[in-house]
Amino acid sequence: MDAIARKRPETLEEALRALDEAEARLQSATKFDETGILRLTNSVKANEDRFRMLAEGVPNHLLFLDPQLHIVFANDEFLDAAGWLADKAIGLHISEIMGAERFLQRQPFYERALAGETVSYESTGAIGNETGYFRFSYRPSLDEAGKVRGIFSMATDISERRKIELDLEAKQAELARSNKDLEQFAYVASHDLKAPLRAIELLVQWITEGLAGYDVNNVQENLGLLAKRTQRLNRLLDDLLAYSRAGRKVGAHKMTDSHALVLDVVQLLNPPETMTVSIEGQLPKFATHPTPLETVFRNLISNAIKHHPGPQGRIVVFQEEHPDHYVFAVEDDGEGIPAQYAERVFEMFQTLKSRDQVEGSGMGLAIVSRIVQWQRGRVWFEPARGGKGTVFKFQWKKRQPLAAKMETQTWQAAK
Amino acid sequence: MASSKVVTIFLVEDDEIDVKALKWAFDKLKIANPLVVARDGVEAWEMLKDLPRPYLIIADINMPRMNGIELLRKIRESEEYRDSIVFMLTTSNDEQDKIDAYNLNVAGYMLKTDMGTSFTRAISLIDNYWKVVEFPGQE
Repeated sequence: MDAIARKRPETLEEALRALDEAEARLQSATKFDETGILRLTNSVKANEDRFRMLAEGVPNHLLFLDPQLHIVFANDEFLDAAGWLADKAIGLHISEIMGAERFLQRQPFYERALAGETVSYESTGAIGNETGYFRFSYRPSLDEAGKVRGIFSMATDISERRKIELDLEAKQAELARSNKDLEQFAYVASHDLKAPLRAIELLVQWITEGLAGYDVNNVQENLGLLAKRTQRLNRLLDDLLAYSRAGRKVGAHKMTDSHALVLDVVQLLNPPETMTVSIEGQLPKFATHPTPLETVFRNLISNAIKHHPGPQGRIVVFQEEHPDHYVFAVEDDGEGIPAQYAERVFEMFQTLKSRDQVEGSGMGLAIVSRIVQWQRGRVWFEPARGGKGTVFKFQWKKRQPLAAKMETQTWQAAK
Repeated sequence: MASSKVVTIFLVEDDEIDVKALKWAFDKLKIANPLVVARDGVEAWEMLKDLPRPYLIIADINMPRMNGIELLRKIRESEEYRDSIVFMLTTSNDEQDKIDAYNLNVAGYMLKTDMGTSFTRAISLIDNYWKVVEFPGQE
């Protein structure tokens, strides 16, 4: 063009030649641009292919959402997990895919990302019909003007890690509990087990003195006390052993008729005629570990009988059904227990009356509590429905943790 | 002699044989002070209001309902009984129990280990204590 501008044509031939030259230059220039555009297009396409390969290659759920949270892009990993086809999912609002409930939980995070913030959090998410645990990350994508033109969303399945974390937490809690148990055991062993031993030592001393002629009258009485203390010590040791086994040796898991189980317990306890023990309604039949369940009932019912001030007593067993557990209840019309002892009664070797008044190891409710906790239930007491007396209630899971664990193992093996 | 009035011994103990043992030690040492017994912290707390002064409390630790440390804390926090002289006579050799007791200004922490000698020694110490030591509120 410079040439044309500088050199004014003087003849028609010159002018025509200049025009031809200009056209040729223009053509070559256009040709050059076409190659440029083609190259540019190819490069964009290559980039996109690379992006797609990357997006489909990673084991994460990737999404690109527009500012109104419609799906612009979703990788196959996401679509497979969500159970959608690409042509159906693109253009849908994200809430239509994850459901309104999940969307409500995540909405605040989307809003933060739309405001320009990179957001990460961990939460449950769905993989088909199953729930997993994910780490979510929303990264805003900005245009040249710095405006958010969409969100790049990435979800990483961390279910396995989460499972290990939860397992570890559970094990730590179990360890802490077992350490506390051990500490408590060391403490009570030094008092509660030693107390009868010391008494025996004393009684022997008194009996010896009596036989030596100092106080002959008391020999008979002291011998009686000696026998009683020996029995007490024996009982403490037995119950301590029962406690240490509670929740560890659980026996068979099988179809159990809890109604018949309670009737058997009552028959074995053989309550005095002045005490009636009855079942209100029908107790359920379900698959469980009958041995620990029986131990719990035996302790609660025998407590109700033993601590009843008499002369006439009425003990009633009943149940309430909940979605994943039963609540069994043993109700008496005895003295009642002040609410301030709500925790103490379940501790090892704790009694509300001196052992000389009511013979007992103080281990019964500790054993109950340990068994109920083993299957992740709760035990507590309330005032009885009639106002007089106490009702002890405990949760018993319909599915036992041990059985659940076994199922998981089988499932993993099958996988 | 310090005490012009007779000191009442208030024993808080749930084990009847330990109560007997204490009485036995009293006999051996020829101690004739009046003896009042409560079976746990709750009962002791209720009996304190009728207890003739001056008195000296001997408390066990492991007891039903309210243990000796809890009773001691309640006494120290109260307006009317905070000046009480309290001995611990217990099987608990637990360091924490000792720390708790002395933090609550116990007059002495004694172990009932072997009953034969240590128990009598403990009682004779308490016996000397009230004979020598001035009690609050005494003329």
